[in-house]
Amino acid sequence: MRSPRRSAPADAPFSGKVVLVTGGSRGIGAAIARAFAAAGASVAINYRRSRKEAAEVAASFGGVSIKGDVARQADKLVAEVVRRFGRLDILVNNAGHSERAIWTDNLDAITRDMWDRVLETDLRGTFECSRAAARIMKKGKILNVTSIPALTGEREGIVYSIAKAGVLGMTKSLAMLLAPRIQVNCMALGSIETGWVPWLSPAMKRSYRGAIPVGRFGKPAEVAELALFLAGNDWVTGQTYVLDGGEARV
Amino acid sequence: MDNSLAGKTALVTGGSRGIGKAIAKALYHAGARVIICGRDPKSLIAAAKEIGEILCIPADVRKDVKKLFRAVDRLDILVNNAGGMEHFKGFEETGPADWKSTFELNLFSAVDVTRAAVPLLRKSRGCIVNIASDVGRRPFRMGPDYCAAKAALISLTRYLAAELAPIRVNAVAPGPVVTGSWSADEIRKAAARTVMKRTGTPEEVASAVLFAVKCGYLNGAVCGVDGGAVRTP
Repeated sequence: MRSPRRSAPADAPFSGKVVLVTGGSRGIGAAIARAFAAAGASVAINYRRSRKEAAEVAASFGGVSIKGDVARQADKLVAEVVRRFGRLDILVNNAGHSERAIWTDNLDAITRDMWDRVLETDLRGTFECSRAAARIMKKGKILNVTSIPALTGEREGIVYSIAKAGVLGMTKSLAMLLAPRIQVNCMALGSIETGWVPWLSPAMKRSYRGAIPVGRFGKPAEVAELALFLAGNDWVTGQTYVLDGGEARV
Repeated sequence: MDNSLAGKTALVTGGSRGIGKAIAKALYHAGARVIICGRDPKSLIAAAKEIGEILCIPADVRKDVKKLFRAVDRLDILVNNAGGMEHFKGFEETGPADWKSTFELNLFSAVDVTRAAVPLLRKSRGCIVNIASDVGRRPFRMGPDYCAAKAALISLTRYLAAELAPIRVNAVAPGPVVTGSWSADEIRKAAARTVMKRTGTPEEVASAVLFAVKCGYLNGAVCGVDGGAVRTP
C-alpha cells in the first residue's frame, strides 16, 4: 500500500515549494530529499563532511548541496537556500551525530566530548536551524527527527536519548511559539534500515527485529512518506508521530 | 488522481456524514472500493450521491454487526469511525446508563466490528484505523464517559498493534472539527483550545487516515490532528 514514485508533474503536491534537509547526504535525509523532489519541490540538502555523496544525491534529483555546520552556521545555511531558490517553505532537521562509541552501558565511558558532539548537532543544530528558518519563513513547516529512546529511555544509549528527548520538548515549544505561521512536528523513529544496522551482530539484529510487530526494520522511504504527510497538512502541529512498526506503542 | 489503493476494499463505519464521509471520499479518490455504513438511510444515499460509486449499508454498529458483515466478503482497510458524544454532563450528573451508552457507541461497537473484520484482514494482511479524539489523549471538559471511552480506544489500538500483527492498527485523534450544527460560541471556544486558533476540517483528518492506511511501517501510532490542542503522547 505504498504510494508510487513518479516524476513530478506541474501540479505535483509540493510544486513551487523549497525544502532544506539537513544531513541529506545519505540514509533517511537523502530519502526525504528525494521524495520531496519527486513531489515537485526544489530541494537543498546540507552536509558537513560528505561532499561527494551529497553532490551525488543532489544531482540525482536536480537539487543543490550546501556545506555547513548546523549548530554554528545555521543562518548562513538558510541564507544560501534563499539565495539559490528565493525562499524556504519546509525545513527538515535531520542532521544527527553518528558515533558508535556512544552506544554503551558503561556510564564512565561517556566523556564530555561525546556529550558535546551529540548535543551540539542533534539538539543545538535543530534549534539553530529552526530559529534561522523561522526568521525568514513566511508560512511553512519544520520537521524534526527524534527517536524511540527519547520516549522510553535506552539502556545503552543515554546521551542519544537525552538529545532526542530535548528535540521532543523543543518541537512542542516551537509549535506554540510559531503558530499559526509555522507548523512544527517531530517524527519519532524506531529501527530504520540505515548506517547503524551493520554495527549490530546477527544475534542483536534478530533480537531487535523480534521486538517489532511488523517483523522488519523500517525503510528510509517510509520515513519520507511521513515527512511528506506532515509537510502537507496545515492542522497538524506540536505532534510526535511514532514510526516504528509497532515496537514502542506509546 | 492518486490510484494507490486500487484493488483494496475499505469499510468506514459512520461513513455518511462529517469526518467519516470525508474519510470515505479520500479512500475512494485513492482508488479503493469503499463501503460505508450508518444508521440513517437518507444520509447514506446523500453521501453516495456526493462521493460516487460506493456501497452503502444501513446498519447500527451497536447491534447490526452480523448483518453488516453479510455484505462484506473481503476487506483490506477498516476505519472504525462511528461514535459520538450523546450528552454533555459533569461526572456527578453522568449516571450508569450514560456510561453504558457512551461506551457502547464509542468502544464496544469498534470492538465488535473489529472482531468481525479480523478474519478478513488476516487474509488480506490489511490495516485498521480507529478514529479517537484529542480528549482521549488528554481529557478536556467533554464528559468523563466520552473522554474515558476514547482513551480506551487509544489503548485498544496500541494493544492490537502487537497482538494482531501483521495487521497494522493505528489511531487518528482529531481535535475540534465542526460537523453538524455548532454555535458560534462553541466554535470560538473550541478554536481557542488549539495553538492554531482554529477548528479543523474533515478533509484534514481524512488526510491523516489516508497516510495511516498507506504507510506500511506505521503501527500502534496515535496520529494527532488537532491544531496542536494536545501535544502529549
